[in-house]
Amino acid sequence: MENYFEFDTKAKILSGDKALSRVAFELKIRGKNKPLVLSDRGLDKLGLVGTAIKNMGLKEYDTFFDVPVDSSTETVNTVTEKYKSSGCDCVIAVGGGSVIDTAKGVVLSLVSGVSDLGKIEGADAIVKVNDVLFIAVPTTAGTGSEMTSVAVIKDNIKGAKLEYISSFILPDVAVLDPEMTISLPPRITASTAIDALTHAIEAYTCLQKNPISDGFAIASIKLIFESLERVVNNPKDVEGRKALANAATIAGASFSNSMVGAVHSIGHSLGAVCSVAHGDAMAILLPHVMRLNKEKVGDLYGELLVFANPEKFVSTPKSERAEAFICEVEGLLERLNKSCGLATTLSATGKVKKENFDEIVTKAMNDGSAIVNPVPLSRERIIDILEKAL
Amino acid sequence: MKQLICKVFAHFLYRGMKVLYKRDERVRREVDAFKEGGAFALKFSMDRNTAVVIEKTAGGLKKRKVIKEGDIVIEFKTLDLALKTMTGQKGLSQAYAQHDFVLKGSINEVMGFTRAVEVVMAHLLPKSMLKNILREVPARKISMFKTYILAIFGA
Ligand SMILES: [Zn+2]
Repeated sequence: MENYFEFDTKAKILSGDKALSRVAFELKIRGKNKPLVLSDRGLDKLGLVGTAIKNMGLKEYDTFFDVPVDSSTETVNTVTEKYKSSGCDCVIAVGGGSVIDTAKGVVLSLVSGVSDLGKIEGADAIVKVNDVLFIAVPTTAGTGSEMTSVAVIKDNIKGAKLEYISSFILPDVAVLDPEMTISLPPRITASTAIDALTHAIEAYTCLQKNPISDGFAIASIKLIFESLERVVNNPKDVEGRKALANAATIAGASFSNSMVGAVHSIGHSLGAVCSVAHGDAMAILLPHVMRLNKEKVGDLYGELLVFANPEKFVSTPKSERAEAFICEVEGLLERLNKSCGLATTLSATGKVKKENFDEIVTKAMNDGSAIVNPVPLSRERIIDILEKAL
Repeated sequence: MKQLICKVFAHFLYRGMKVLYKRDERVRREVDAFKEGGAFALKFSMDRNTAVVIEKTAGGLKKRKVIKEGDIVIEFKTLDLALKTMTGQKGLSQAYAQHDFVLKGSINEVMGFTRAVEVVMAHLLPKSMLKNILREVPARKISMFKTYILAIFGA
């Protein structure tokens, strides 16, 4: 196959102790005075967004805290109007995937000058006419959304999910402050970190892998295997929290460029059809999809064993390393299941029935990630994975 | 010249899809899932308006001349990139992964189109070529020779 790749990344990463306190400087050097801060009601109630605003030292700003669980075109339009009418000059998103996706929608609308988002859906389809400074402050360590050029926004009128891939929705600054993730409960910490681990493993093995995304993926896998269980067993471990935040961010940069595969195709579909939480779906599906892909990318899985368990890598013959790495992933998931109740089967979620399989399969086949999985997805293959995961 | 070659190959892709719509359930299932009246447009260059537009009708597919609002447009970034995919030197999924084209419209809907194109390509190109461009070569339902004959003389 022809050897060509693109690696698109942008954010200046502010990572570590009191990272939020450095945002004021970033705004100053970029000549910005009045951010619009986006978040959701849950984070507002927890006091997390208030802490973020205080620690960023914002003086003049406006807010929008009504971002719904699924970002929608209506919300994007409302926020865009607010941005314009209140004279804001940049966007700060404090939250998880849906807050950052909403902010990306707003940026998309402002950058393109197009108010009907349905008209600019697609990949690389946006033409930039304006500049908008965009700062992302993730409050989970998982999605890596602060480093990705992808956004999914629901169009409630058409009943469709609009998907965008564009350089222009990459945040300019990503802020990884441990204060934002230190209070995450162990189970959410585990499922979001497994999402990041899945991003890294899929990025390392998907069709568009490249030397740069490989480097990011490896660093992320190493950090997650070193820190995740430590943090789940001791949630106040600040160093571990920082490691997981870094792991999620760099896995985001990795998969945004090499793309993700079948774990995500089926996982997105399980979310849409049965409301299975994204991280849970990743934990349940990952080993089964890895076994499907092993025939094509077994050598690559084998290479990753050294980052999960260096001693095992040395003592395992090359031909057995792929299976040994899958067993390491399974072992991690089983231990997390015991320590914090992370779901490892579809039955454990209580949300998926065999009657749902047909719809799950159809949606998974049409997910954008299906096209880059090393083994092509067929209906039979997806059913087989679902049955094994049940 | 390159535009013309792209158009000829795209024409065979369209004709092949029509032929296989009647003879291969994999293509039929994908095409039946397309929106009626909606279309996939293959645009070979960003500066010229030449495109082959394949529209879904009640009974199958038809070709139309112009791109309409709501069509899904696959617009190659350069004519050389279009040539590679249209002549089977590169798979459509690989072209997508390598950002060879701008995609205007629903990414989800393009997945079914891509699968249908891969089955059609498997009937139009020799196996030695297919191994280099597809992750897995779909089995042929009819021979390459028969596909071309039907594509030229009527489905
Ligand atoms: Zn994910």
